[in-house]
Amino acid sequence: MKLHDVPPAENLPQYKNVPSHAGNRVNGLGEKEKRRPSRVFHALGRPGYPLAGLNAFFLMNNTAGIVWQAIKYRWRLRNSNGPIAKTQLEVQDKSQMAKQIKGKAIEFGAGVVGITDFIETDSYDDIDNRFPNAICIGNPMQREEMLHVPHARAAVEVQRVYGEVADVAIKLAAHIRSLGWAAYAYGDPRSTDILQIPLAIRAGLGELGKHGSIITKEFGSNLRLSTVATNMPLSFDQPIDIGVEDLCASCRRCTVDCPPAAISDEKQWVRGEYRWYVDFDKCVPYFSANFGCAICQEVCPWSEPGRGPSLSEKLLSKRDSKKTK
Amino acid sequence: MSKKYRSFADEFYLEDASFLTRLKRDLRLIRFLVVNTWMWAFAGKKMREEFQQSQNNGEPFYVDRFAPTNKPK
Repeated sequence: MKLHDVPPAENLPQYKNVPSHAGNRVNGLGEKEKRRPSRVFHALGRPGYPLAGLNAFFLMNNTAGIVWQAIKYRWRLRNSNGPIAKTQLEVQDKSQMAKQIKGKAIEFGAGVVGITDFIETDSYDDIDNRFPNAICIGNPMQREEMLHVPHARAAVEVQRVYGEVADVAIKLAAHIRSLGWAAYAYGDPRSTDILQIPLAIRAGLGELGKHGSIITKEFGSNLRLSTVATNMPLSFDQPIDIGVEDLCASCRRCTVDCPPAAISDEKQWVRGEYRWYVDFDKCVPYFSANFGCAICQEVCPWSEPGRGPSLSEKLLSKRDSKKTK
Repeated sequence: MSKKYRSFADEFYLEDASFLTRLKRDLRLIRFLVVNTWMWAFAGKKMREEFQQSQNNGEPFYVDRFAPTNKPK
């Protein structure tokens, strides 16, 4: 993919008074102890929220097309929860039920779907998650629209797919509630209380890439996520190994193409986990000034349509041949 | 962290609610969306123009004033 007309990371919105490392500190960069995440962005109105000014700027710095998609989507999100049927379907075989639910998600329009358990660190430290299971859903974005990153045209597509993938979650949650089990649909980061990427990785949708986003075998990073939280007994999927670690260790495409140089070639400690991490305080000013950016997701080799499965096969066989030597 | 913060989900997701409660929620959500769109259209327009001007002049654009009460922890 070739990028066109990428604005330089100059004269970005900035703070006079908030320390430049505020976002990284909230995110727990350098912390070796495990802890729950704190809200860092998309939480306008939270008391003491250090990045409220930048968040407000991000919300205001949109075109009419993006705002219209966001309005439609947020209106639909009100149906994320609802009444639960009084008669509860007895689940005797969790794996059979999981298969049925995943089939239903595909029927409702899901691109990829996986199931995992909720752990404490999947939700922010100001909420109490009451559900044990998560059904993670991913839908691809139209590549021809996303080739226009970091401009408004791509951001309209991002909002459209957030709406589409949330619709799948809303329908699936309603279906589960009709079977007598509680279910709650979560949409985009602006309206959720949970961290969708770690959940989706544990649910076997993909692996964490160097650019801090999930990389799936089918769609690379060119997708958006939603989640259904439920108490319905379901069997879990396992995390997958598609060779992302091998590629990210040597590929520098997102690192080089990131205008504010926010992507590191080294893993770092973040809230007790040694992993890839994007410098939040470098990324977010550019992200806010450029319609949610997404350059790193689109330049990723995995995001090229149809390339993921063959790339994965090549990387895994290369690893195997190294092992046998 | 304060427990007083209410997320979008806290504000607008209802589980077992009467028709009237749902209607009230819908009206609150419409108000929320209208206020946000109004802010985007008017305060936002002014902000976008100022930002564009600062870009053209090569001057820094400070965002502190959009959340004047915020202090670093």
